[in-house]
Amino acid sequence: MNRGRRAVLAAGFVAALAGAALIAAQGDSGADQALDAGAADSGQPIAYPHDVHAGNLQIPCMYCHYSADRSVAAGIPPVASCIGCHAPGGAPLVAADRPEVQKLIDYWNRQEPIPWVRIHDLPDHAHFPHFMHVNAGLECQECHGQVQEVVQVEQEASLRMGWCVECHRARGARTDCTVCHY
Amino acid sequence: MERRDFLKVVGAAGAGAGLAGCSTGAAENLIPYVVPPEEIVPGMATWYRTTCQECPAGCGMSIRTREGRAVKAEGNALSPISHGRLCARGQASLQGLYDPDRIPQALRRASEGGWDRISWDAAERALVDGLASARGNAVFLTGSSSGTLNELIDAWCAAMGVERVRFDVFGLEAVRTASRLVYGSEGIPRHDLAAAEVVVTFGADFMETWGSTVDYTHGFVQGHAYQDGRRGRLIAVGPHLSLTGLSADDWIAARAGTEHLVALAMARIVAESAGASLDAPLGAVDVAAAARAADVDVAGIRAAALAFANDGRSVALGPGVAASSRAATALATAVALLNRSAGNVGRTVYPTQGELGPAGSYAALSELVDRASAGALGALLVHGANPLHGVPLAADARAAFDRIGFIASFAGQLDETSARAHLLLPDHHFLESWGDVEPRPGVHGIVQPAMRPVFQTKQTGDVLLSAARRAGVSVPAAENTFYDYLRSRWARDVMPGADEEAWRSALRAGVVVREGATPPAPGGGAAPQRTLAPPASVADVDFGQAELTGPDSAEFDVIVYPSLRFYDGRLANRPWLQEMPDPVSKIAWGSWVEMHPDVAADKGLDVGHIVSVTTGDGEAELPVWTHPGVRRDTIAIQLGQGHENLGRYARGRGVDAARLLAPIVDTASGGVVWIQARATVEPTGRWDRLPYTEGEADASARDVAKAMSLEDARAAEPVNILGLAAYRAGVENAPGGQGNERGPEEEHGEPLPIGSRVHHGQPHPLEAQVDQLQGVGGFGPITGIGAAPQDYPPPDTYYGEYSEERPRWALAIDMERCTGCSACMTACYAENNIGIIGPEQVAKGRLLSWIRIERYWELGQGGTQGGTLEAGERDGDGRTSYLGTRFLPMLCQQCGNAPCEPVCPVYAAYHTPEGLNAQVYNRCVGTRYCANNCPYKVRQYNYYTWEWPEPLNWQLNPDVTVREKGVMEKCTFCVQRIRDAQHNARVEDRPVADGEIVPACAQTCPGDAIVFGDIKNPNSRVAQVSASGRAYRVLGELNTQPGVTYLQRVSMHAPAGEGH
Repeated sequence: MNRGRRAVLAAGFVAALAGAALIAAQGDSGADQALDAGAADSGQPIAYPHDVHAGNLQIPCMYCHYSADRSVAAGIPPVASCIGCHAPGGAPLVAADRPEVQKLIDYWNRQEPIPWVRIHDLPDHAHFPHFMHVNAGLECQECHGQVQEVVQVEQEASLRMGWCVECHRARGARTDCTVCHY
Repeated sequence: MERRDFLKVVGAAGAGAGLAGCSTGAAENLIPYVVPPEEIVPGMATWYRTTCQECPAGCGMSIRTREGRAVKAEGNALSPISHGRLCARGQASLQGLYDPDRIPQALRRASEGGWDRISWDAAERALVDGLASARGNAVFLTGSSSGTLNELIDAWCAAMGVERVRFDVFGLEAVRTASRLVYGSEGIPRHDLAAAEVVVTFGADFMETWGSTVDYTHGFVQGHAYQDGRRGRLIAVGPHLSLTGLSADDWIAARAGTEHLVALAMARIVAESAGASLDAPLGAVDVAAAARAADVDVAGIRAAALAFANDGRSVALGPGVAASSRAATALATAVALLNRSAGNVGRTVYPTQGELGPAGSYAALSELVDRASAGALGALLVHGANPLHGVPLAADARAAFDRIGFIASFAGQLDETSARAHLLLPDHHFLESWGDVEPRPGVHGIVQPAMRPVFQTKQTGDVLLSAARRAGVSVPAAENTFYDYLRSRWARDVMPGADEEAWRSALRAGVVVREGATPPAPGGGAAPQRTLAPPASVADVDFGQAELTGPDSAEFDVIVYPSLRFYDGRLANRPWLQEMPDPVSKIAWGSWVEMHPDVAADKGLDVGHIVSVTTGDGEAELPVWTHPGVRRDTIAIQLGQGHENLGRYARGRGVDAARLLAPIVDTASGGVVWIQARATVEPTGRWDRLPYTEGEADASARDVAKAMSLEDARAAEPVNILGLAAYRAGVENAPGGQGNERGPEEEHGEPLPIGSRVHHGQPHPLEAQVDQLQGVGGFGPITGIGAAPQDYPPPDTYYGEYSEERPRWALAIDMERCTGCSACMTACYAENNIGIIGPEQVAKGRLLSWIRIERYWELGQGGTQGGTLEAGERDGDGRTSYLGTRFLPMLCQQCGNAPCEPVCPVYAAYHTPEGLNAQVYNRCVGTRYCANNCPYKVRQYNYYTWEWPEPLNWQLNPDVTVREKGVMEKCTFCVQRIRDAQHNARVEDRPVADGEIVPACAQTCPGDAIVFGDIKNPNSRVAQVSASGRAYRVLGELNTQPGVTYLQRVSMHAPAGEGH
């Protein structure tokens, strides 16, 4: 199963590069300008548009959230991952002239991590192993919403216990307290 | 090194944050890596193998790291020293790494007092200048070290014109001297306790600090614990029983300073039994006179000696600190002669495989202090030694150190010696360092960083190399960094011709064992060679009785002995170790003086009464603790406490017992004369509420910690369906082997199918029982309400409620294999984020430990102390005599019919389908009904929200919720580890293998006393061990149907119910 997923990832990566090249060729569009203007109220250090990356470019979720299928944590993309497309080797490539991408390149030049603001935040006494859910065949969207369609990700599901348990019951997953609470 | 340069770890989010409600509340940041480290998957553990440096034993360890932070230390199963286990000190090494009182960077003493922060550049210049100002009159004082740093220090000292002096507080100089005299070899001989059926210890606390304690405990349990109708024998000789002595089957309570007379008498009897003609010194030994001097029974000595003459399957050990009187060298020599005469050399004693590496001597330290006193010492560098604490020194020694023109210390903490330094060059903690040790010839333990340095410290090897460059001095074979120096030395000496890949695989293994480093299997070696004639070289040893001196009115011999918890005192700032009750006294945090209960009663004293202890050289006020394992004419005080400096957890706790002693050198060996003083004990009339966790020493005839005689154990064997032999075979063959190694690159073996009903091609004998059990859902009708306690639990209801589809998790604890060492307690603290509550709260009975070691005395009434008391002697003159000790690890019993669960008003105490009594922290409202209803007292309540001062909080296990005020907490068999294994098995689409899940307590147990698994699976180790004829359940008559099975201790004398 894992091997298959990797193959999908690899294919996605090729597609992503192709799309990136396309964007680089297209230059500015009205939508992109609107995007730049919306950066100020995104609440994030960089207004990262999930719709452009996961929607238009169809980059697979796990290209960036790289450990979702093998770890409790989904993995926040390292700055190096972003730079890999936008300015590989330090040379500006994809949309490098945009103010938000400039911010990214500044972080990279300072070798600083980007302090993203967490949207999906479970309490610390609830353990949510991403890999168990991904390996059970759940789509990311089932918990995180249609991320590929929105500029700014917001918490769609309540993430409350009843919501978790409902799904566990519907799918015949365990509902014993210590499955999540320990 | 380079791979760690990737570790741009910037505050990985979520490491054990609090239990703060359900709402998402304040925004939390997600901090990504800038460049992802190749070997780290966020959220998953990465393991590094390294070597423990908390004492010279050199145990291999595996460090679990999460997001670049070390969170748990475990033993490295590939290490022949640790066997995959660690002691409490090794477990607590993480608190040394994250000690909030570490020296954060290079510091220079400010002219107006206090310290100036300086750069490493300035610090190294100051070091070179300081040495230059000493004009060749400089000394480098180091503790024990072996391996590359040791070589570098030698080479550096030679090149820089600095004299090197080595000193270890517990250097065991007498043992080394006797080894030289009798065997002609250097070092502490290696002892193979697994091959010994009879072990005699002369004050060698081999389960605490003496020698390679984890290896020795592991071996001792193998040789000693009941197995297949046989059981070993441990005989303790000396006036005081420390933890090691509490495992003894016989106690020869010789007076302090006469242990060597007993050893010689035994050697004579052994030699005579072989029909040898006796030369001096054995020929001159008068057994009766020796017994008189030692104030013990001749019969006891004779019985011990005859047991000892055991065809090369016995071993004598000693002396340790507690028997290092003026006759320490005589005792060590007598022990060596005893081993030779019983044919143990080459069978259980390997003199050419010296352990622990080279050590320094107290004599050398004394000379150093004299030189400093005379103002004749220009500069002093100190690394790995703190001579101004825990060592008897002249009254003016501290002032003498102040007279030294320049002191530079590499200590990681401001201890008593470094507090007098002019320059502080803090070394990395060993979990941040490169290095190696050779604890035994041919065994090379690698020390490698498990994480980036916590503070702005610098590895001493690098400082030395850099300082030499600055001074323009060339050190032979010097390299740019210590890492390069280490690599080139390994390429030269350890792994010649090895390529990069070989080095990497050595790093992954953490230890390199060269051929010939392991002795032949027990009994597989040559026939025992009994050497009866003492060598001529011992002719000069003085075998006279050692004198103890004190005030004229002195009534007591004073025994000082090392602490299992703090080693020589260097570990006193580890809160886990301070809070862990001493395994013998069950007192946490402070110091105490041990006195026989009858003597204390005669003086009107009881536990907690403060007395004034006065020797010829000092006076100390200490609370009394009554110990039946000490002679009536003896008192005992533990070393290691009484720090003036060090850190917040150590400062001002208890008393430094060395301050009661005069600085006397054992001239024959250069060691410390520890046992030298007699003392008066005067009540002060004051009383203190001790942080005392004993509860009851007396089980009030409830027979909590049961024991059976050897005969009964043998008779019970037919009931033991599979036997311990099968269990042991299971241990050897279990996936992951003995150490339950869970390193990242290791695969688990072939999984054992759960629910498999075929055993060696036959239906399993337990199958019928399991079917019955499941047939009643684990719950049978309680038919015998009026029945006697032994009729509980009713048949077929042993394990209580669980779901038939799920496993029933259970634990088996073999009390024959428990030595009381308490490593499990510290492992539990480390794994489960258990709070440190401090002495005041411990005194109120609020200790949070999820597992505790109950220690029950087996006492008799008889005129004599020690020896083998038969049942008839118990009715004596009303005086207390010591018969034995039973240790009982007590943790949540995961009752099948749990009293805690029905009383919880909010369903926080809840029964899982796998048979666990879960505690849902986020539901708990703190009524404490559950704890009140628990007959085992294993639920702990958080009276406050405990804090972990930065950076101690970095150690918190991110897999376990941190509890706060108002929440009840308890053992859950490390449910996070159960979940982890279940997740992995599920993803890999296979059943969980037996042995794949190992709770932290079982993982670290040096005696392998604890077995965990699914008791529903009849092939599991836990099901097999639980089927032993020695098995019982504590307070089983309450019909709680516990998931923990205990295997009774086997007593070599008729066992009494404990606590009479």
